[in-house]
Amino acid sequence: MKQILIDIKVNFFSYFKDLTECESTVLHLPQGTNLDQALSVIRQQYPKMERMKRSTLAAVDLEYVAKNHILKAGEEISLFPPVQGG
Amino acid sequence: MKRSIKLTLEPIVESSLIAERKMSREMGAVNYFSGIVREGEEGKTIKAINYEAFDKMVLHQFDLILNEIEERWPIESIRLVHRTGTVKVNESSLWIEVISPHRTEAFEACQWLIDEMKKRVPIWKHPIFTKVD
Repeated sequence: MKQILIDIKVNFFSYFKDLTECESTVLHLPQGTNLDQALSVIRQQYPKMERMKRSTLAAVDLEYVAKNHILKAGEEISLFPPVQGG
Repeated sequence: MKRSIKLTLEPIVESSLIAERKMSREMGAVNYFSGIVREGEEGKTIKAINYEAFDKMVLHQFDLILNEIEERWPIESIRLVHRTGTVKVNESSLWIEVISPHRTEAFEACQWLIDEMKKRVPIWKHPIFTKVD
C-alpha cells in the first residue's frame, strides 16, 4: 500500500535560525507521525540541533503539545530555545 | 476581566498609559510594573537589547495566562505592553498594570503573570554589546 505523506512546515526562532541556517522548512512525513518523531527527523536534517535537544521548546501552531501529538496536514511546528521575555 | 495585550516596536510611554487608565469605583489597588533594560547582560556592557517575538503565539500565550489569572484572582483589568525590536538601556521593555479591589491580589497576579511569561511566552533577547576599543 502506498504510504501517504503530509507536509509539515517547521519554523525556527532565535539562534535556532543560525544553527539551521534557515527560518523555516517543510517536512514530508508519513501520516501518523508524532511530534517526537518529527523532531528526530529535524535533528537528522540539521545536526547542529542535536546539542540543543534538551533545551528545545516545541509548539504546534500556537500551543505547547505533548511529544506524542500526532501531526496533521497543515499544522506548523515551531522550535525555539528557552524564552526570555521581560 | 478587561484585558489589553500589545506588542509594539514603539517606545513605552508610561505617562500616556497611565492617562488612559480606566477603573471602577469599587477598585482599591493599581499595581504597575515596568521592566527596564539593564546596562549589564551576561557580565558584559550592552547598549541595547533586540527583542525577537513569535507575535501570534505571544498574544495567544499571554491570553491563556490571563485566562488563568481570571480564574484565580478577582482582577478587574490587566494591561500589558511588551516591546519588540531594539530597546535601549534604561528604556522600558515591559509594562504591566493590574487593577483589583485590594493590593494582595494585584501584586500576586502581576508577579505570577511575569513568572509564567518567562516560562512560556516566546520572546527572546539578543543583546547588542558596546564595542570595546
